[in-house]
Amino acid sequence: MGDALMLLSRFADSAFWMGRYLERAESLARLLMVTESFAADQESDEAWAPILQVFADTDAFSERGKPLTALNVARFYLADPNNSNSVILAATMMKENARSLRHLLSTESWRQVSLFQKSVAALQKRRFALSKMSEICADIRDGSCTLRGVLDATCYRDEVWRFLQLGAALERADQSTRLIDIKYFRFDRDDDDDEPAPPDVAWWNTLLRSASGYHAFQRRYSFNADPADAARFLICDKHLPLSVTNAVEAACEQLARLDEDFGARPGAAVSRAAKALRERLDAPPARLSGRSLHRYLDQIQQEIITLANVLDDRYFSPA
Amino acid sequence: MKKNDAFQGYDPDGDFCEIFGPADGKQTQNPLAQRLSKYNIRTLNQRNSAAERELHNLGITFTVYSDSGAIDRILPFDPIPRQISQADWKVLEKGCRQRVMALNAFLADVYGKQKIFKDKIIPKALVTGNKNFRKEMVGVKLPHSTYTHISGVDLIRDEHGEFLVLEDNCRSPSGVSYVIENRHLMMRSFPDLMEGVKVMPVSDYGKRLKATLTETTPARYQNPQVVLLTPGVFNSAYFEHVFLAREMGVPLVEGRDLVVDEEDRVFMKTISGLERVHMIYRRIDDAFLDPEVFRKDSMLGAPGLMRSLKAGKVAIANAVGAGVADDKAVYAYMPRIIKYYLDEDPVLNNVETWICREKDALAYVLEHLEDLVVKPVGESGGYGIVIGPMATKAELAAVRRELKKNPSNYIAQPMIRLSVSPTLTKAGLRPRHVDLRPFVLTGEEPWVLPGGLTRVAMREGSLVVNSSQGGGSKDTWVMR
Repeated sequence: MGDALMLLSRFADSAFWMGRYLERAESLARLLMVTESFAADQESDEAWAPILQVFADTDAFSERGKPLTALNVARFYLADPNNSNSVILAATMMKENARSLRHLLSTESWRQVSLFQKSVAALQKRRFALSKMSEICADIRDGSCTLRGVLDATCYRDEVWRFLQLGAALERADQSTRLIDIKYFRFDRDDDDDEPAPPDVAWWNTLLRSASGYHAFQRRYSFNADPADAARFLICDKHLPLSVTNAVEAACEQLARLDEDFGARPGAAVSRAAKALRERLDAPPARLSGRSLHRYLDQIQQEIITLANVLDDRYFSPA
Repeated sequence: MKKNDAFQGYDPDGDFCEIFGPADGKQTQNPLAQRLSKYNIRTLNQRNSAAERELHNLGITFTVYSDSGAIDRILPFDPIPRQISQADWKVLEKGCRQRVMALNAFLADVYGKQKIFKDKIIPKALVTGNKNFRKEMVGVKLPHSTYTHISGVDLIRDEHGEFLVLEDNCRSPSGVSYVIENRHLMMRSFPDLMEGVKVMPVSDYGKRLKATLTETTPARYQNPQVVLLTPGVFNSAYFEHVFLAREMGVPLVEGRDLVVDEEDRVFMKTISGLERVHMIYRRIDDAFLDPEVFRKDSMLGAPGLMRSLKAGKVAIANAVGAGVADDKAVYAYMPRIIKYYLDEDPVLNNVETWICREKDALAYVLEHLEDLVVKPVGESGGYGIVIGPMATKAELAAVRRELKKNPSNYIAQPMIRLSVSPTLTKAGLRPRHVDLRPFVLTGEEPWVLPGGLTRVAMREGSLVVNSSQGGGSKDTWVMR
């Protein structure tokens, strides 16, 4: 309590969203990399449709009147400033939130924020071929990782830092569920009794690589791993940075620090929502595939949304 | 003086030069000039471009509003420092202290007993009828009777080398962040230019500012909570607000973060609930401060701040109504104001000024319009100024009409040939006109930041140094 620096609610809000948008930019880049490398195998634009469905962007995309081609979808998610799920918008929003926090960030951080946002904004003017996609996405991921590194190395560990990490962790949890769900959204239709063929091993390997978890997965599960193990790894592993569980634990750790170090007690509603989310992750369904997996991911997403809402009530929008 | 490579073609052409002195004076050896002479102009330009890029990346920028939207710009930086000798600085420091003490005494009187009107030193109507006079402040007592806590004194230097006061700034003068950032930039990008040179430091400004604000908070509040009130990220000076909040370690609040309760106490909304605020360094105009009292449509301030101020439960810097003292109409009376309150002659003189509300002065101004600089009162930032010798016939005709219609709204001054300082151009070092804005902090006592902001007109021959009109800045070295 003695360490409390009396952070304004508005700054807590900006820090939280700066973290969320930074993570969103990076997650989107990873998602596009997966899709691109998977689509390259299939040689078909069909592979790009699921992204639109996972983000419920099918209508928004068709409003732009462009044919559903790989390049158009990729552009939509990379460089369309009017798409609320684009890398370019995420980077801009990240910077705008950082701007209102500037006096509380290290000068090194703001510099890197500007450089990252500038490099992403340059995409809008760039003509890019599909063959350049993975390179562009890797650059975005690296830019984001660099920024996270600078933040980590230079930011004072005050309440601002805690909210920044909290936002980033929640977004990571949410985006990781979407990354996995990309092959399972189709189970959304309840009338569909026949489960389509599950994604093959190659697809899971691509996914693991994009989540920077492929080699760790090999070490942990050695031979005979099946797709359900990969799903379990990406959702429940406690040590994989991008796993849903790891991200949720990181978020809970920030709440604990806010409480213990800064006297910013989360309160009943936040604690309840966090507990529900953790319990959900502790108790995955027996069958981590098909419809049951999709439903599980959906439930996790709902719990994350609930938690974000009560966080807003508690910290960001005081009466 | 031996003209060397870097100074090849350098010719102040009759202007006073900040390094070489008066055009007809004895040329002295200047260590900085000797050092500069060793540099290659291309290398200097390359290094300067790199330094300016870094300013962009660090976000040391201001925002310019135009029809096509808001653009983040850096203040062009010139790496050739402006030097002030210790002897000159002694005079400047004394003059600035004196000036600001008189301004504070004047404000305390104007909002207090109003003796200066009874003694007929300045017309009452000119002050109380001024648009920056706040009748709400009459009778309000302030700690140490400090009204202008942060002041900027705009100085120019004429062809003889005399420093003259061009303008006072008692309403949130900006630019101090550049003074400090320019020094940092010099140390980072041109350490070789600074090596071994003894320059008075500027880096403790933030600490001094916080001490000033703490001193002027009602004394019963121990460890007062200071905040900086900004209009927000879209304000052109937002970087400076960030800078100052950071240097002082205080929250950078907006009006929407503040509430005033029924007991007239000011709070800010934090993640742990409402926290008391005791001192507000505001960077918004009076008019937007409190919609209960001033502009009702203001979204930038917080309702009830004036109630709290009058109840002595919060302090506001600069004081509401301090702007009346820096008005160009009051400026003309400053020599008399100094004499009246301090019984001293001004250390720093005004530029000769004609007050157009006075009949004879108006006649003179209309007669000599093409030789004079005409300035509207109640404006700042160089807006609305007409420079006679450079104006078109149409511009002169327009200002003539305005003068006849509304003479009280104008003052006029002779065209002063501002001093020049060597400035880096693609062609080499060239003379460019400069001014100087020292910053004065007043808690119990005034303190002057060594040096100040040197603004430089980057265009050849231009006398307009305002950042909003293409001016740049230099590091300012007060030599020890």
